[in-house]
Amino acid sequence: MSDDGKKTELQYARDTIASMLASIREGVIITDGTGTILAANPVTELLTGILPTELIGKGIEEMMTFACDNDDVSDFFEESLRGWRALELPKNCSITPKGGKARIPVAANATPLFNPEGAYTGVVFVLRDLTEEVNARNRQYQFLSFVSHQLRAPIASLRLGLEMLLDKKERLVPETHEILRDLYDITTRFSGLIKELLNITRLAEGRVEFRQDSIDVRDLGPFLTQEFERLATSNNITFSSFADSETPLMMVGDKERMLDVLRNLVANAIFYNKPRGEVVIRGRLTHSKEVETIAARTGAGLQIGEYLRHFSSTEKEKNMILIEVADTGLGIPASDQPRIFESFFRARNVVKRGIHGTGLGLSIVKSIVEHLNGRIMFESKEDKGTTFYIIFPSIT
Amino acid sequence: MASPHLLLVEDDKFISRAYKDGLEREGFDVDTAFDGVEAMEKIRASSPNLVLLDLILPEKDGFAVLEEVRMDESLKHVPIIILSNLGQESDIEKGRSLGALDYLIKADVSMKDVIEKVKFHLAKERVGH
Repeated sequence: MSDDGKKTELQYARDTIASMLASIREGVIITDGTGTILAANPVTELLTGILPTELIGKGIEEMMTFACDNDDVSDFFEESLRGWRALELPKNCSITPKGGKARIPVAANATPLFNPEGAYTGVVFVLRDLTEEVNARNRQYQFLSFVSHQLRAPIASLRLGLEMLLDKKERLVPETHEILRDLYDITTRFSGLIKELLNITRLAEGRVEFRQDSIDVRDLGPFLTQEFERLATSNNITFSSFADSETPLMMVGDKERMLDVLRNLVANAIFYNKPRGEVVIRGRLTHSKEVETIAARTGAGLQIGEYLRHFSSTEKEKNMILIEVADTGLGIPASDQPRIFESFFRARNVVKRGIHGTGLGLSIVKSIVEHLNGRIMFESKEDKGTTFYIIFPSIT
Repeated sequence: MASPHLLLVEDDKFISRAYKDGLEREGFDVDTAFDGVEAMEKIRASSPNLVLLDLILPEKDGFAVLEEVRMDESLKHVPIIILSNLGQESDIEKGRSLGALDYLIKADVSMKDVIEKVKFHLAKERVGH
């Protein structure tokens, strides 16, 4: 009788868990240590196109594949099944269900399981359908894009009208001319904001095309010097770019987008600087070991570790290009640092000083760098300065 | 030498007047059209030295005008600069592939920029590219 009593308790526990797994919106798959599927809940059929009963007993790697926009995740299952740590798929990944249905954007976590003795017994995979989130986000960007385009027409009219008035300088009292000048500058800023908003929406929607040319990063130097020399001087800042880079820094990328990246960083470095300050761009070859050291120092250790792992399978030490954009400016307060790459986010100290900005530059920079298969890190101290580190795989 | 004859195709009356004023003060002779159909009529009738063309137009849009001009042997030599607020790379690509010489975004350029571009492209035309 006691045996039956125990069975009922166990049965009850299993039934409760089965009900839970059947009613949640995530797909849950449990495998043993080699990846053989032991259990799968009903939602997994929606994501994989395969019935749970047909999944059981098969190897998880043969049953599903993830594909990601900016990362190589072909070793996701292999890594998870080692049982060393919990893993998460990066952003912008998807799964293609069998049976010809469209790709589904997903998030996935893998957590190792241990028996009461502490031995590794398998992995539980949790998959989440991100379609609704992606749609909501896309609607946001579509709206932003629509509004930005609509705003352009009145801006164009304002600018033209103001330009006409400013042209009549001889007939205006100096004060009036000054006010009109200020208004004109405001519309220029407005126009710039709209341009950046549209840029962001385009990047977010993947509508920007990135070329894949071999470029020498040092070639960007002269363009930047030409663009920023005057601005730097008028702000009493010394500016130098790639002054000491003597060896070629070859990477696969898009020259215009790389210029966008550096332009944004240099503009920030100049505007968020102090009188008699300095802005220096340096570029040199390095290797993954040094990159890891910088990452550890800047708090990006985990992210960069994952990034570098994808190169180290073929070479022991991967050659990388390291670009530094360093300034002796206002720096980013420690409490604001975690959010600095967020769209529209502006650090407290620059907002307080009334320095104008859209808060979009760094999110654009990060987006482009990652699209070009690179990564960006930074270290900063309030009132001392900031250094951004951008790394790309080197092709020399 | 006769002053260059420009055709400005722009449906917004205020913007049209502003560009016309600015260009006339630079010594150009400027005619205006407010929609795509009128634009085609005037291009055919007066063979302008250069056309400034907006893309969003009533009756017939700027892309359609570009196509029609390109298809017509007697008109395809007419230089056209796009002056629009549409600014996506796909629009710019489309405009250039339909034969536009340049693409200016109204909200971003000043009257001086427009005048400079007009002078630049007129000079190029005279030299024969």
